[in-house]
Amino acid sequence: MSKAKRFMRLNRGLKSIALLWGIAGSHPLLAAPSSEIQVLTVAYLNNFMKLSEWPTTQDKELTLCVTQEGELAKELDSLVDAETQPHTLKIKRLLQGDNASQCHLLYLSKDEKPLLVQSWLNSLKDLPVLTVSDKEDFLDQGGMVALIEQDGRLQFEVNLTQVEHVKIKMSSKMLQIARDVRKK
Amino acid sequence: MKITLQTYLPCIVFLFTILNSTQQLSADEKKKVYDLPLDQLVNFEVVSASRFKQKSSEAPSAVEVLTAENIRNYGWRNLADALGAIRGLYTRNDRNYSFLGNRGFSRGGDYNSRVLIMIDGRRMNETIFDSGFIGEEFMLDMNLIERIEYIPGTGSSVYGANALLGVINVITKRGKDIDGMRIGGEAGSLGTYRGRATFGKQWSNGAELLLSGSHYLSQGNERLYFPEFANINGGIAQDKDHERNNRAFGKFSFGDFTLRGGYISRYKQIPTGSFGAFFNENNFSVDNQGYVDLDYLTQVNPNLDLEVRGFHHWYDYYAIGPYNADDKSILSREEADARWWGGEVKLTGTQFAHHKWITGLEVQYDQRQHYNNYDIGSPPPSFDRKNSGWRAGVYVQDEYRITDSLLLNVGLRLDQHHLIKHLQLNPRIALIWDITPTFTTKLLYGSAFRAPNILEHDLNTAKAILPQEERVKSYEAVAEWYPGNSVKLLGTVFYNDISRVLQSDPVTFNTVNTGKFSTLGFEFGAEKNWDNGRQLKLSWTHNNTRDNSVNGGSWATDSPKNLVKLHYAEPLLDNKLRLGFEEIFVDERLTVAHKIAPSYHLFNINLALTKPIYGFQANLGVYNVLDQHFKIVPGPNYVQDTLTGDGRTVRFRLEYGF
Repeated sequence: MSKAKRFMRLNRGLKSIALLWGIAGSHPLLAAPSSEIQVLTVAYLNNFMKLSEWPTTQDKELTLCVTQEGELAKELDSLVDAETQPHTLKIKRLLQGDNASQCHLLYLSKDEKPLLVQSWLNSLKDLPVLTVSDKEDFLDQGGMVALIEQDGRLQFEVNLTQVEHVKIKMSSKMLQIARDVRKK
Repeated sequence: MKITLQTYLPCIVFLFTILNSTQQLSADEKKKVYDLPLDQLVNFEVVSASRFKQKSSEAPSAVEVLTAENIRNYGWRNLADALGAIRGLYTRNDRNYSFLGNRGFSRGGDYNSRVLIMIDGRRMNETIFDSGFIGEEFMLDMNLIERIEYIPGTGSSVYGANALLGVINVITKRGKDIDGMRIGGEAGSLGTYRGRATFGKQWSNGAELLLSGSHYLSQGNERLYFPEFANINGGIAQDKDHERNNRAFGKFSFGDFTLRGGYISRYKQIPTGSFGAFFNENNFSVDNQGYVDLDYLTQVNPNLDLEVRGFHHWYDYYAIGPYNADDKSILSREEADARWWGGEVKLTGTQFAHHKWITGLEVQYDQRQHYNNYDIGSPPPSFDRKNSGWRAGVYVQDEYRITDSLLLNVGLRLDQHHLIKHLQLNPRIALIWDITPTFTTKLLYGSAFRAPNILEHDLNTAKAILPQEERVKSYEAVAEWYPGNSVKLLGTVFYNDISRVLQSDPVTFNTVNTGKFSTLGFEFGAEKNWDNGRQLKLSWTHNNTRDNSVNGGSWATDSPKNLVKLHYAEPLLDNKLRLGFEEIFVDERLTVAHKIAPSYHLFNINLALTKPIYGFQANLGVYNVLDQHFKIVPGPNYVQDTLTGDGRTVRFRLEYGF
């Protein structure tokens, strides 16, 4: 290959990369701030932990439990790296059959088997573990916080009866922002 | 194409420029989002969830998964190493290609055409020999792999041809997983080196890019001794084991679109004198494979996902070797080139209560399937074949949750393939019963097919005997028990009935559908993962695979009755280091000459940093620590009845990220 040809090839290559770069960089900003669902979910969980108080207040380390590998579990690992909590944060991956009583917060995905969700909720009925899920009927099943996507926004609902039953204190701010707070 | 530093350098320089011009690092941006108060979060728009769903295999459970963490802990050098760690699989390298055996079934020289190999859910088997590459001839470097999914059993009900014994889906990392630039180097025994550059990023507007390129070089064994060739150079193949490859992979996603592309060019010397080539002469093969795939995945409504994609793949191959013709040495060239393109439309719906359904249409045009074999310098081609044609498949699958504890998964696919006469209809049925929340049982049945490849299709002297498809029916029962404390126990019983297997008729040399095989076996698996990163994993596969095509039936060749695998990873120095042990036992096997290849143990140790220190990530692996001279069974076209694998080797990897 002659040098001239080689230069032309290089030049062409650079141009196409530059074009790609242009597309990636110059896209107009969206009107509303937006984010991937798993980043938002992790941001919510981060807030829930800041705005809740567990009866075992001496805990310096908060344990956040998750039952499935995947994008959310990976995102939680980067939450630990981001160090946004006043507490040290620990992510624990649970397998079915594992004891969840050591968790402060347990996140159950809507992809989780129904039988398993129910069995975890039953085993935690009287324990101060904040249960959160994106499952629609989660509060009816005895869960505490449900994350619900509506009109392209992520919202949440709280089952305060269950939260108070296990003596977790939720800040009034959190309850104000909740789309719905259930209390018998 | 020869790739030199001069071609690499501008790219690297340019990537630096991109990096430096970036204003915000996505990690910081994410931290900002994590920290936002609730009243702001409720106003955030959720970016369509479907496009971030990691492409996962559409299979009713029983999937075995290896993660990026496993790859790091055990230091697997290529896909073949990783697959060798999976329950029920065994690999061998005949010093030209790597081959996969599956629950006791392995046919010499089938180039893994009875397994479907996928990258991000895309079929990678080429359209000449149907090869599914897994060694250094596979397209991806290990650092790009997020996870490897292995679905044992039939997969034709979703994926069509070739998914006879299993589906392997290799899922690549995302740009944001790399988040910056990584330069890596590898050096090891047998004069082995690899250089690599990977760039990955996600921008605030959601655009995401992953780019990677690497070069690999291995001098191989300087002297390989084959007693079968003792009369030539004392049986020593001198400097005939070189291997090198160039790899490139890229992924760019923006909005609902993802563009993927990959390329591999692999050169390997063949030191074994296989296929009748003169021994200790220069004999080599080159495989080039590439693809581009444009994917549009969108959420039509919260209960309906639509995926539309188009793809183009190509494969070029040639091999040159010296052969005997009328007592003269002539150079023979075997070559093949293939082009194929196509598309798929797929719908996934959840609008009916308790149902998740998938339906799709896949079309592929095999535009060129060209195979040629001739003697260099002799004018008339000795064997030149061209083919082209269409294949199409339509499939439907439904996952029906009958009760909270009972799940039924039914799939069906109808295939038309231009190399066979009849339409193929392949079902898969799985019944999954959670007897208790911690005890699950599964019953699985499925069938699958493989059409003959171009060579099998075109080789027969009499055109009247056109080979047809191979078939398999597989039955499996699985029990999984989670007794607590992160322990998982598993047991399976399986039966595979493989019929109409294509083989060469010993008299006419025609390819005929006369092979019949059956496998009956069971597996046990146990796994425990500790919070601190410690892992213990054990599996045992026992099977009896019979070759029923011979009189009265006999033990099939290259079929180890027992496979035992042990993996143990231990965190050291406050989890800064991870020490991984891998022990693989492969039982004795029957060779083509009806002798016994002895059983062997492969023991590997790997030491890796769990997190980079000052941006540096290091990894040291010792393979075949006990320096076993283990024997593998090569294909039928070898003078050697067994080949000896590599002894103890060492590999050091260092990566710098910024």
